[in-house]
This record gives sequence, structure tokens and C-alpha cells, in this order.
Amino acid sequence: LRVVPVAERPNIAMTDSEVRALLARAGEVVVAAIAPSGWPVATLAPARLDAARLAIDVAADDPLADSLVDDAAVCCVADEGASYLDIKGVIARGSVAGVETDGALRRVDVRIEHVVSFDFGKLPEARDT
Amino acid sequence: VDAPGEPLTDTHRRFLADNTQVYLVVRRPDGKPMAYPMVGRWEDGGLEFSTYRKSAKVRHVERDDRVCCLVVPRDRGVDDRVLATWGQAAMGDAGRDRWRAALQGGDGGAAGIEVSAEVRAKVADRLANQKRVILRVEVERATFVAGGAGG
Repeated sequence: LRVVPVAERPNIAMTDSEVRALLARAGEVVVAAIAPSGWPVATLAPARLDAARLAIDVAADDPLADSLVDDAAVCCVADEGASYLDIKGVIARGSVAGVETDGALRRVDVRIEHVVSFDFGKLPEARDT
Repeated sequence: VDAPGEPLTDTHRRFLADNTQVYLVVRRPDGKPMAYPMVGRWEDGGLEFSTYRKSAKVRHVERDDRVCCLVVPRDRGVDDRVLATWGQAAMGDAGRDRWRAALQGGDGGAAGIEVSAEVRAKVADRLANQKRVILRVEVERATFVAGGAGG
């Protein structure tokens, strides 16, 4: 008999390679930042994983665009899953490490500094199905 | 300071009623953003989320109630618009019974994803014993963003 403390939660984090695979196949991520006004802002944007960085394209007229300046803190989310036990996601926090303007686009380089991930397929109840 | 976007329109309200995949963006105590993928329900002019009372997101919105909710259709082949909304968040018990009723009534489809009866029962139980709370956002402003076709 194994006594499980009330506070103990199952570890449903993804491995590093699973995180990289999800970010690589996502194609788009939710990008969030804090506007100069103090309000949180977010958009959905095309993204490519390159080592420990995400290259993100944001439309220059997006409400988020002016918040993406060098060293600004950002949070990016990629997730997938059509049913509860299929849900997988990555929440990557980091900072802007370069911005280039290319016509109507801002090409933003995000340095990933902290990752939280989850795979509901690793929940104990998923093993029973 | 006003939030970004424009005052809410009927088009925004219809979009909010039709889509449950919502990314809740809050401001952490260190001033940095944090985004959470959530199921959101549009009820009586507000966006509601079920979450654990002791969760970090609850602590964050109690400290700074300004939030952004990014609403993304699950099937973007059907509707590729993406709506950014802004408003102030608060814990509200008013929606608790409505959520429990929906969960116990087998309204799993309301989440927009398949959710087993076992998981729905567990969430309903945790709403009943107040381990989970309803976080409600009074949405005041919105705009379709350039990430979707509505931008």
C-alpha cells in the first residue's frame, strides 16, 4: 500500500524532446506581452523553433506589436488536442532578443528562458482507458 | 488608462458565444505576462472560467485584475478569425451552479472538446466543495487581431 500525500500531483510534464516536437509542429503560437499601458496583450502568430529561440512574425498593426521591443518579457503558448486526454501544451516564457521590421511584419526573436509543459495523456486516468 | 481595442459589438458577442478555446493572459507580480490555455464560457455578458481556488492565476488576478482573453476557434478551417478581448477579472460564485449544472447534465460539448463523464463529475464535485472557483471577466473591449483573417 502506497500512501499518497494529498498535495502530490502526477507528473504530466513533457520531456524536452516532446516539448521541442510540439513547438516545431505547432506552426503558430499564442504570443503575450504587457503593453506600455500596463494591460496584457496577445495575438496568434506564425512561429518557428530555432534551438532555444522562437522566431515569430507579428503584423505591424497588431495591438501586440508595439510591446515587442528588445528585452520585453513575453509568454508563448502552443497546445493541441481534440479530447481531454489528448491535450498537450507548452507555455514558454522568455524575452525579446531582436526585432526586425519587414514591410507590414515585425520579425521577433524570442529567447526561451522557462518552460512549463503538460500532457494529459500522462494522467493516471489515461492509463485506465 | 483604457484597454486596447474597441467597445464590444454584437459581432464580438456572437464570436464569444460560439467559441470556447480561450487563452487567459494575466500580469504576474514581477510585471511579466503569463498565458493560460482555458475553456471559457460566455455567460450574461461575461467570460467565465473554472479554475482551482489556490491556482497561481487566481493569485495573479487578485493582485492585478486587468486581463486579456484571446479567443481562437478550435476549427480554424471554419472560422479563421481570432479575437483579442480585454476586461477586469474577479472571482464570482454566481456562475458556480450554472457550471455544475452544465457538467452534470452531460454538457461536455460545451467545452468544445470530448470530456469523459468521469472528468466532468470530478470538476463538478470540486466546484461543489469550493476547491474550484469561477473566474469571471467583464469583457469591455475587443478587436479581431491580425493573426486571424479578421485583422
